[in-house]
Amino acid sequence: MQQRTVEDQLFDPGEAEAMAKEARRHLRAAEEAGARGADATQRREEAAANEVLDKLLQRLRPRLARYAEGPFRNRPNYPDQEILEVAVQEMALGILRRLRDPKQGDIFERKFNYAAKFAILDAIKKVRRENGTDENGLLKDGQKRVDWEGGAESEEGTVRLSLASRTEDLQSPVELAGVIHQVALPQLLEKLPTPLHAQLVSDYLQGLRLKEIAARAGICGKTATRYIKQAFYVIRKLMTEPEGEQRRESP
Amino acid sequence: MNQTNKTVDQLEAIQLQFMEQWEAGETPTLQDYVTRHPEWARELTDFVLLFIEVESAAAAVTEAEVEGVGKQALERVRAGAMAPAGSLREARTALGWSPGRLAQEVSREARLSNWAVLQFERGMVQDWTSRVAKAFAWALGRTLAEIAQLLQGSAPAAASGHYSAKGAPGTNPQTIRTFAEVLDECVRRGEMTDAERRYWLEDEGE
Repeated sequence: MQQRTVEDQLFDPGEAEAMAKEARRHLRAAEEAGARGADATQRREEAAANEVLDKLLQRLRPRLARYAEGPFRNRPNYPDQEILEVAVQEMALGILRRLRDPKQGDIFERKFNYAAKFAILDAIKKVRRENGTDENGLLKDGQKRVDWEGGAESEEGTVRLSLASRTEDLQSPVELAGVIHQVALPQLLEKLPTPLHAQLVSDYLQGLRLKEIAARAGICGKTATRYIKQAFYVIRKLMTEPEGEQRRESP
Repeated sequence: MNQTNKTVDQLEAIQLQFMEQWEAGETPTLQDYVTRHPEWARELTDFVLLFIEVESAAAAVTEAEVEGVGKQALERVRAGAMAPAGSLREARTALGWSPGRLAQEVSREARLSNWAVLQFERGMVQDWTSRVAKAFAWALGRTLAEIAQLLQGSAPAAASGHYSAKGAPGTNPQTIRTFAEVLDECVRRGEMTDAERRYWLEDEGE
């Protein structure tokens, strides 16, 4: 089966887990030294832990940068170097918090990549929340800024949806479609405001370019974008709200 | 508290299972997970959509595109979260946080009043509980022992400096408060209830 992650290209998980184990061993020794009042030993052990953690984060940096770059590259003011740095900083802090937590840190010694992924996702939600969107990248009016507003004129003059454009070499739109299909896509499409919304979403999930989607529907690219935005807003609400609270509405 | 931890652990275990299946190239379905764990339907939906979006986005970025990205961030982390103990204010500043950012972080995560955190940042509090130390540790990415070092010893010096800056020599013992007094002030200001005050004054065992 095909592996679908990026980390295997960057950092051997076994090596990361060994480093996490070493850092946590020093942290435990520091804590024990602190408990018996051996301040010098405590400081020495903490310094040793920090040295290992520093190496670990340096090794992780390219991976953290990729996770920061992807979700934030389509902001209107891209490239926004500061937000990328803040995202990497939050990811690194999140990893440190979890690794240093006596209860949560244990998983880093066994499943480093997954433990780090939790910290990375938390950091992305946090940075989004603090930079004008909610945790899912949605603006208060329900429009998805991170995913949708980065659609730009390409060299060929073709306006493309940013999610599709940044995953064009992957199966991601198909994978995303898979997830949505599994939550009963036909039923979801039926609940969209108009058949046009359903057609556009269906085409989008097949990975078509915006130009093609718009041409098939006989509308302009901007209108198609607007309709797809509305449709995804409704789909998300349908997928996340309890049955009784679902309403037919658009943003 | 134990019940909360237990349920959060359960959710993470479910999410972990999804990630493992996904990354092994299998095709886990959101439907399946929501059916098996209806009590986490909303959390799992949010998690799966974010996870897939983030994985897809990250996979589309090349190493060349992120050359150099994050170096500044890790410098800040090294100076703020991994440096030898200084003070809360130094740790905050090293992370590139604006004044008050630590207060925002702690306030958001732990619901402690901004004003109370600022008193700690300024070194104006002479004691603390493990609960408040834990909140600082979480925000700054440090251990409890390191937070104790950041808090220890900085109060008299900072208070002395603060008092001198106002034109009076030496340390004014009235300037330094106990944590209980800080919390009393928070209650008086209407920033905290009595129940919250009691919560913060309790020490939390490991």
